[in-house]
Amino acid sequence: MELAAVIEEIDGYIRKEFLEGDASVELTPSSPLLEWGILNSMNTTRLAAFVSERYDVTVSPKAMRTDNFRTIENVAHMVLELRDRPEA
Amino acid sequence: MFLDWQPHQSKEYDDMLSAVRERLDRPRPPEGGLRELWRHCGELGLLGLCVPAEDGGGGRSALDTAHLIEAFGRGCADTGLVFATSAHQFACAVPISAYAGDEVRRRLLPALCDGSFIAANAMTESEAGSDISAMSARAVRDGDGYVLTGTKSWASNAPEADVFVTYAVTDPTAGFLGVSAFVVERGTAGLSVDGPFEKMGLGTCAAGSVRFEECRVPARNLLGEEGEGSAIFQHSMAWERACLFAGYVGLMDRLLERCVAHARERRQFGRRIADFQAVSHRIADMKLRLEAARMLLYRACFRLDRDEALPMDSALSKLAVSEAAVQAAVDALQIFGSRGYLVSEGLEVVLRDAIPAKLFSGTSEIQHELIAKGLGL
Repeated sequence: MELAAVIEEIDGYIRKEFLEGDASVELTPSSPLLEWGILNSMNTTRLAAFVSERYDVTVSPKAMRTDNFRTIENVAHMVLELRDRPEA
Repeated sequence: MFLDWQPHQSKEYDDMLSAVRERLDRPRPPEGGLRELWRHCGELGLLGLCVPAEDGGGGRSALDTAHLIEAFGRGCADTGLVFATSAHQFACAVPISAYAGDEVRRRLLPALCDGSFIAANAMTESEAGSDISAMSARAVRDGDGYVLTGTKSWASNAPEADVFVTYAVTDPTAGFLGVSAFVVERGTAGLSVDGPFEKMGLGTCAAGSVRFEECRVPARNLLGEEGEGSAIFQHSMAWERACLFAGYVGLMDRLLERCVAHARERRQFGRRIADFQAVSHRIADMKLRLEAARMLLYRACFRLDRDEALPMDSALSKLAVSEAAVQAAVDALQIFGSRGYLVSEGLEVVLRDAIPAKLFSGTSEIQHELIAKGLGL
C-alpha cells in the first residue's frame, strides 16, 4: 500500500471517529494533531489499535513518540516503517 | 504458553513466603520503624526483584517478579507496606533502570534496591490524573539542566522519599507526547513535600503532595529523551498494573485460606457453616475470581517479558485483580459475620486496603476505557 493511500485512510478514520464528521475542521496531512488536541492519550490508543488491526503492525509503547503522531503524515510513515521493519 | 510453575520457581515462592511471614507479618510498622522495615524488604530482595543484577537488583522477569510479590502480599498483613514498596519498585526503580543514564543508575539503583533509599512517583496533578494531556507542570531547558515548576497532588511515599520520579511538559505543542520524565533528589533547592494525607487505608504507604518551585535539576536527571515521558509512564504503569497488583492476588489467597478454615470450624444449627451452600458457594466464587484474576495477571506479565504487552493486557489484569480483591474482602466479612466486623479480627482493614486498588494506577473506569479503546470502540 502506498503512502498516499495510508494517509487517506487515517484521515478518514480521524474525521469519522474523533471529529465526528465535523467538516469545519480544516484537517490536512500536516495538521498538528497533538497541538490541536485531536490526539489525547485515549484517542492515540484508539488510533494505534486501528492501525494495528488495519495494517497488521504492532505499535509498541516505544513507538508512542511525538515524531510518530504529530501529523497524519507522521502516523502513515510510522505504519509503513513498522510494516517493513517490525522492530522499528 | 506458560501454564504452571517450575519446581525451582515454586521453591523460591515458598522461601519468600516463609521469610515474609517471619520478618514482615505485622499489621503496621512500629512508630518510626518504616526505614527498618524497608531495609528488611531490601534484604529479602523485594525492592528490586526485576532490576538488573548489575544495578543491585534480582534481574528477574516480570512473571517471576509478580510471583514473589504474590508471596509478599500473602505473607504480610500490612498491605500498605506491600503497596508502598511495590510503588517504589515499579513506578520508580523500573523507569530509572530502563531509562536513566549510567551515572544516575549507578548512584541510585543499588540504594533503591537495598532499602537505603525510598522512592516516590510524582505524576498526578489536581487537574491531571489519568488525562496526561492536562498536565500543567513545566520543565524548561536552561543551560546544562532543566528548571521544573508545578505541583503534584498525590504521590505515594512522598513524605518519606529520598528520590522522586516526576513528569513535566517540555513541549507544550505536542500534547501528551510533549511530556518528559525526571529524577529529582530530596534536598534539591525548590523541592518541597506536604503530607502525609489522612487516608482510609494503606496506612503504611504515606502519600503527599510535591511542589517544584524553580527547581533546577541537572540534564543527566532526564529519563530517556525529551518527549518520552508518556511512553516511560506507560512502561512503568504496565509494570505497576501487573506486578504491584500481584500483592492483591496474595492477599486474596490469604483471605481464602481464612474463610475456608472458618467455614470448616464455625458451627450453626448443629452443622459446619461450610455445609450451607450459601457459604460454600460464596467461597467457591471467591476461588473462581481469584484464579481468573491470577491468570490474567500472569498473562500480562508473560507478554511484558516478551515486549508484546499492549495497554489492554495490564488493564484487563488490573481490573480483574482489583475488583476481585474488593469483592473478596466483602465476602470474607460476610462469611465471618459480626465477628468479621470487629477491628480486632483484621478484616475491616483488608477492605479499607482493597478499595484503593480500584482507584490507584488508573481507576477501574479508566481500565474499562483502555480495554474498550484497545478493541477499537
